[in-house]
Amino acid sequence: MALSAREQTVLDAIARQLAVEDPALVKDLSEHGSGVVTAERIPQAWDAWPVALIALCLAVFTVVLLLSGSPSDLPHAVIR
Amino acid sequence: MGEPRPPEGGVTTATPTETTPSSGGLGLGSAIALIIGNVVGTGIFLLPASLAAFGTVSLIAMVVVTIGAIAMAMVFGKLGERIPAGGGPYAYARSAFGEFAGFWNAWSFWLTAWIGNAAIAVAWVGYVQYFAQQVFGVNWNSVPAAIVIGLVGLWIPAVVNLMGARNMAAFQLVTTILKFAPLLFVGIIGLFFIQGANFGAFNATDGNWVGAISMAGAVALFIYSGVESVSIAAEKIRNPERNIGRASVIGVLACAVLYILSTVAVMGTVPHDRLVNSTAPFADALNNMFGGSAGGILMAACAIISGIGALNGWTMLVAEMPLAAAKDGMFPPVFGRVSRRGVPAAGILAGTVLTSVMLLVGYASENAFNTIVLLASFTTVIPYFFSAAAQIFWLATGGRLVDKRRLARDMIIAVVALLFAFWMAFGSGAEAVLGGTLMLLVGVPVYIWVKSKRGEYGPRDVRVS
Repeated sequence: MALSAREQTVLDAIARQLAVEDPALVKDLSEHGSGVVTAERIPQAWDAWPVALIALCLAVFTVVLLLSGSPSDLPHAVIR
Repeated sequence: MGEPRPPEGGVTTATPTETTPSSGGLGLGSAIALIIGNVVGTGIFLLPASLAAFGTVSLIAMVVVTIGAIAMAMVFGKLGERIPAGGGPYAYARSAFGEFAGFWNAWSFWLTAWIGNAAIAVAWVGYVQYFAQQVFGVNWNSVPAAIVIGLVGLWIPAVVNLMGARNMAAFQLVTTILKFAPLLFVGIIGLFFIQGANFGAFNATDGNWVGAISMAGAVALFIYSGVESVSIAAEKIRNPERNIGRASVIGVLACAVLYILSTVAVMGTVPHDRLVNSTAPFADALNNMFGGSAGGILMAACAIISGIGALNGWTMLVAEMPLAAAKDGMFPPVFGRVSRRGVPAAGILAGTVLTSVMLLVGYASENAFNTIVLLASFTTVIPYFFSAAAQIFWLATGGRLVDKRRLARDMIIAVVALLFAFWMAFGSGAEAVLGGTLMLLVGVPVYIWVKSKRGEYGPRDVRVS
């Protein structure tokens, strides 16, 4: 989203004032912008399909388990 | 990814937990012994008879369950590499899903650990009584005698644990070797005595073979309980980023070899009809192989060593999980105190006292005991499910460059582990799910209590970079 002319002017004024008041801070802040510029890709709606598929598999597995009948309670000796 | 926005009115926050690796004293060998020692408890001594009721189709179920357990071990390895922090599943769930999920995992595991120890102790008492009768001719079958034997069996491992992690590891290593060797001996030598006619039907149930696998699977699902041991004791493990994964996978593979070989050997040496009703299948197998009746005494001795070794390992875990949670303010602070010997003494004592009470309940009312022990099978599953889900969460949301083939492989392993945990939850049975769910809900007021004591009225930032 682009800044309006008025917003641009205000930000420039703030930057100039800050440069006068604390040049070291402005230098530190400006170094954050050095180096290779990278951007995080905005996830697309379809990027999450593997997880949606896992949820679907789990739901199908649930139905299969429930239809296969309820398991009898375990003998406690088997637990450990 | 944007920063989380604090709620209106602000929250009281505390510093996030450090999850930097710690240098523990237990090496790879001790870590493997911890896994094997905890996985192989007293259940294995009845396993061939329990599975024989379904026919040899149960061996297929066992293989399927083994694949799931190996996937689970690999997931713990990956998670341990990412977060080599004490408490294992607690730390993973807390980091991925927030502190309440972490608390619930710690609560669930803590219940499982001390209730499960009571199940081991009761079985252990039976083997001690048999051994005393056969070898020394003494009758310790009265209820008071059984209680005393059970309490001795619980408190010896507690004292060993209170003496420090190195003593605990040495005890674990010795008992693991002493239990593993004779069982493996039966498994390997028994193969030479197998007779095809002993195996019985492929499917010994009334239903179809798929249903038989499902039923046998439900019995076999819990034979690898304890696969999480090393990840929980991460702070005691040397080089945890590397050793959690290696120990978990090697430990499970060793147990798998032992389980499958010994089950095949016992099924092949004891006639099916006799095996189904046997209360000592390994002893019957030994007697059939070499003649005589010494098999019962040998196997009882092996079960006594196996049981006390498992109690030793689980007594450690019963305190390690609350220790990790208490350090983060997620469990009462008393569990976070460490003795001069570097062990969570209060956690060990609290866990052993609760198990002792359970033992008394067991001898007062068998029904009440069975019901309580049963719910521990469901609470076992919670840390497994959340750990597999945490791994999927990180694989799916990780904003980093990844090798797509590795990502796909890790995702498949995590999904297999997730399905395995889900199957375990179902396999624990309706009564266990009901009781386990109620016990999980009991944890909610405990969480509120712990938070209110710390004056925390909102979530803390627990993300790990």
